[in-house]
Amino acid sequence: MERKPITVSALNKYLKYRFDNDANLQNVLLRAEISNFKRHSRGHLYFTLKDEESQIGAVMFFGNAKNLPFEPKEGDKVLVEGYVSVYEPNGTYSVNVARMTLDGVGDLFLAFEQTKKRLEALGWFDPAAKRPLPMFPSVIGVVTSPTGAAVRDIINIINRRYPLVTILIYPALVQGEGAKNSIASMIAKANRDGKADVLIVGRGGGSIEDLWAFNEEIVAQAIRASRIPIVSAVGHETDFTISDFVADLRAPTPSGAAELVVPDRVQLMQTIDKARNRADLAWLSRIRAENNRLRALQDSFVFRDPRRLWEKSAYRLLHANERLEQASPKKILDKNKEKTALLLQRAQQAFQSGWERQAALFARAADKLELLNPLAIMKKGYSVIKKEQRIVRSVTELTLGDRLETILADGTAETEVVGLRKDA
Amino acid sequence: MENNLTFEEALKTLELTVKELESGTLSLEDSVTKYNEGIRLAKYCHDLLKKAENVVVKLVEDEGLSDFPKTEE
Repeated sequence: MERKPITVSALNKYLKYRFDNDANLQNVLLRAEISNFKRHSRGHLYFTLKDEESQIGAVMFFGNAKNLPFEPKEGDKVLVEGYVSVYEPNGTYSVNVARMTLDGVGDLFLAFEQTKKRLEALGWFDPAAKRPLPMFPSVIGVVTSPTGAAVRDIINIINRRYPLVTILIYPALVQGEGAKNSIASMIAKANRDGKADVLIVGRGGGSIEDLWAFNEEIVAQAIRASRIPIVSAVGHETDFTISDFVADLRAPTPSGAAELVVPDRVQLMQTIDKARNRADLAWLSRIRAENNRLRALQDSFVFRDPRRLWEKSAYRLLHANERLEQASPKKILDKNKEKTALLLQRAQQAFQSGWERQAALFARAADKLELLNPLAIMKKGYSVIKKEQRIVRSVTELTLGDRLETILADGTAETEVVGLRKDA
Repeated sequence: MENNLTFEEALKTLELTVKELESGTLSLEDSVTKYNEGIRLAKYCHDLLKKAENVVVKLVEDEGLSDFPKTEE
């Protein structure tokens, strides 16, 4: 089978592919010496890394180079971390440097990595073990150098943000031989005092050697043992120490720590104003609601048309009155009057008709009367006695001495009662 | 009465008071009282923040505390 030739580009592409996919080449830690050092105008660094027998090109781009803690120069012994990449147009490969430290310091870097790995394995960095900071601390402990810039920054920022606290400075050596013990013992002292609500442990920026105490296990142990929550604030934002990983919170700088441990009073004032506004609003809406209730009540017929309140009673009264009137004597009287008038009318009618009948009867009686004419009777010897022009029919109408008229058929005799005797 | 409250206690009480007011479950008399209390607390908190001038800074020494040299600004 005939072999098919490939292009140079294809070969370099393939090499790049192989390099990019090799884990060993992608994470290389080299010990080397710098030569042919050049600083590009854009801030990129180009140099050669070599030992006694071999060399390799290296580039450190501006993004990484700007964080370099030292000024590299020809002949420096360095530790380099990076990856190997292929430059296809030239078919060359070189080290793309991510971090570079002076050797020796490189030993520290390795020690740091080892400590970090070990403590991480022990669970000292467990995020679940990290305690929250108090929202409103009243005492803030600061374990740092009392003469450094860091302590001034912390005081100034806390003063500006939340001057309601007391700051206790636990003075510690932060670099040099005694630093690790000093820091650890001050953390322990702060815990024994028990005054601080939160501790800031840190120092300002410096070289990796300067910051080294914060990578010591004894300091990590003290932080871990602290009952008071700890904010680690070591060096600059790019500096990471073991303390940062063990602490409850890592602040990028001491100033940053000051901002993390206290609230900002400007924001607090806004919170308070908001609460006040809410109270006003709640109160206002309450008043409005009560007002509406009141208005609804005022709008009730009771107030708008109070007559309706007693309307019902008035109706009852009216009704009772009517019934009363119905039952009143006047009504009865009127009724009776009517009745009387009716009766009178009927009586008149009856009388009228009666009279006519009586007249006829009278005519007949007169005839009979003629027959009974007293004169005719008196002629038979009867008389009529009158007392004071009235006919006397009984002896009881008389008393002794009464003067009487005794009428006879042909005249009248004056008489006087001289004796009375009633028939039994 | 508030003079003994810390800022945190006062702020907490203020927030509770406002919540109570907002719940609308208080009698009118109580809400007058709570409202006045809320206003007082808000003023108290505000004043605390406004009037607070300088943090007290002390240096912890073996024998106790000592004044820390004032921050030069």
